[in-house]
Amino acid sequence: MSEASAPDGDITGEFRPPEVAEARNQTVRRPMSVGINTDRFLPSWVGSVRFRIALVYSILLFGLAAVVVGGLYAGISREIGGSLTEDASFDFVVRDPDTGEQVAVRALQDFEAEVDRRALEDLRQYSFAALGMLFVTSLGVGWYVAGIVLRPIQRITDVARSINARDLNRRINLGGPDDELGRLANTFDDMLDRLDMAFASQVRFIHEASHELRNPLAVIRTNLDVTLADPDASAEDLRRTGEVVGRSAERMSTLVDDLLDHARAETRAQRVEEVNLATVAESVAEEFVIPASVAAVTIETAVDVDDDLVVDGDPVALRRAIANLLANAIRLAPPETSIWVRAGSVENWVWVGVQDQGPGIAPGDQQRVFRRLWRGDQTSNFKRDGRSGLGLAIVKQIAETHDGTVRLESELGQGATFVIWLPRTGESASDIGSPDEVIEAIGSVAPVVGDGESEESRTLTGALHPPD
Amino acid sequence: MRILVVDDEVDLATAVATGLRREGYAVDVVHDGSEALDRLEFQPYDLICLDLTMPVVDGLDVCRHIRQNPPETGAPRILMLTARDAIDERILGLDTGADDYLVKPFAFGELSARIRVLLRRDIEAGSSVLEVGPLTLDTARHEVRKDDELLDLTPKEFALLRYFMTHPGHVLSQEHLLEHVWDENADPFTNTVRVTVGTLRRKLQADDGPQLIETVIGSGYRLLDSEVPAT
Repeated sequence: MSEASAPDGDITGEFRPPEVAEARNQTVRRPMSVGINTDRFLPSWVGSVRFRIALVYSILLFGLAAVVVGGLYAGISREIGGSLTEDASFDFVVRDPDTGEQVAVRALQDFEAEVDRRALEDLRQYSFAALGMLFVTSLGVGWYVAGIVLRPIQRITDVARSINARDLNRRINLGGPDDELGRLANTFDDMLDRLDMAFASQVRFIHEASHELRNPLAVIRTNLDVTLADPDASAEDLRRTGEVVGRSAERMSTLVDDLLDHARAETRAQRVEEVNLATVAESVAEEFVIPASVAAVTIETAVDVDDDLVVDGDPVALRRAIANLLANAIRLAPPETSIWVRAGSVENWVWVGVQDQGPGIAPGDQQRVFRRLWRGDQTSNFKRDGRSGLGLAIVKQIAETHDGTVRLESELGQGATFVIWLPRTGESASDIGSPDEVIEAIGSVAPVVGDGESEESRTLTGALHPPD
Repeated sequence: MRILVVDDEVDLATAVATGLRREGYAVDVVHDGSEALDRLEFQPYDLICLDLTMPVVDGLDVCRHIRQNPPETGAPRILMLTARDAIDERILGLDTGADDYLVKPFAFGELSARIRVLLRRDIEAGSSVLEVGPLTLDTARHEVRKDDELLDLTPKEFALLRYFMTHPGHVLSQEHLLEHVWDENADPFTNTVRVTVGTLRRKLQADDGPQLIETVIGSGYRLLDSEVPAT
């Protein structure tokens, strides 16, 4: 069509020279690229999803309409091609008024053919016009509809852009029906909630950690201030101050170590390999024999190294978790008591437990013990004993980054049992669910060891009352 | 001036007490809030250095208790010492009844200066220098002058004179002085108050001049607050 080529030329005429287009593109945000680099020559809205939806919608509608119109045209042109004048039953004969001969049939046929041709031509022209108008209109309708549909996305984009690391308070709050975009916005809001909580918890942790560091710092500073301000300070005074400063420095370094462990445990295990929990538990227990004997406590290990207690995890972190539990137990256990270290498996879960005969943990505190910087035994001068209050929080983190959990069972005056549950190697936690079901099934956080039938107390809980 | 230091951080409380004693205050130390409340039951204090975060009964509880049940002898000034520095927490501390708030770690000099400020609020003095009659006492420099002449006093005498000068004209009994100028280590059955008042009086008295501290028989002692001797 020759008319079509003229506007084409006009469009090319409207194109800006490349350098102008480039200069413009540097200030304008680069639109989404469609594989080929269209954004150099076309305005940015051409690359938008809205335009593409409108265009696709329009082309599809145009195609469908073209098929329908083409079919109609083909059908009509075939139907009217069978001429009325050839129909035998239709005795339509024109006689020559002079000779009376049947002469006009031929001319009439020509006439009919001419009428058909014109009708078809009109039909074709109207069809093309209608198709053209349909294309343009559908482009407009498509643009409008796509705009309505995509409006929530614009809102999501605006909110996402306005959020920065310090302000996670904004939410999309799309409202409206529970459709695909509504769900997208809600998912986005949920994710922001979780990020906000994680971020707030980090900030809180940094605050808590800085408070914890301030106390020993205050001890150091005040002691130095007071001693150094005394011109008559004796060697004894200076020595005492030195000891105080040393104690505080030790406390700070323990705290800093634990803070680092805590930060490390928060990230996923770096090294993942097959670890036999039984072997780890046994070797950790061996390391604690001497500290335990200093505290006049015995460590009883009931771990069968041949048991298949293999999990996927970071051996260093798992070691640390068991060591923290043992250190905790040794600190709390009264002299002349025992600490049991056991390991086993139930279905797809592998567990390792540490049990002491210490003072136990009140029901109200059983959730709190895993909070960072929480210290039980509030009546003692805990600020002096050099504990960071992070030990059990680290255990919990390690268990959770290994898709496991740590459970506590305790009664006041009866001791406490901590059990770490981890999925067996090759099992992912999403397949085997949570250990809650297993724990509920055996009615205790601490399962039976071995066959459970021997008269010897074989459960961790039962071990609290060893047979005489 | 008797001060109670309450902090579960033993090494810190000890150092604060040592420093304050050197400045002539009578200082007692306890390590938790409930112990502090017990002390306050039977012992009037002029000031409490209170740690905020303590086990069982924390600093805010102590503060609240003091403000709700002020002792008959007058509520002590409260200076909160804490590692918590958030604005909200400072506001909470001050609203609960603290007179001042100092964040750990602090310079001991600042603590001592703030204590001086809090204690002179009682006597509505604008600076660290107290003046009564011919006497001037600089609480910051630990200097006492009588008619511009520097006097040489022991720390205990200084503390006693400071207490007299913050209560000029008041009759102060031996027990009262023992409670406010001596700490818990003083033996109440000795005549330490009488002896110290005696030595102080001698040092203040110019040759044959009037007595600045007079004995009120049966009641105690009084620092005369005017130049005119009441003989």
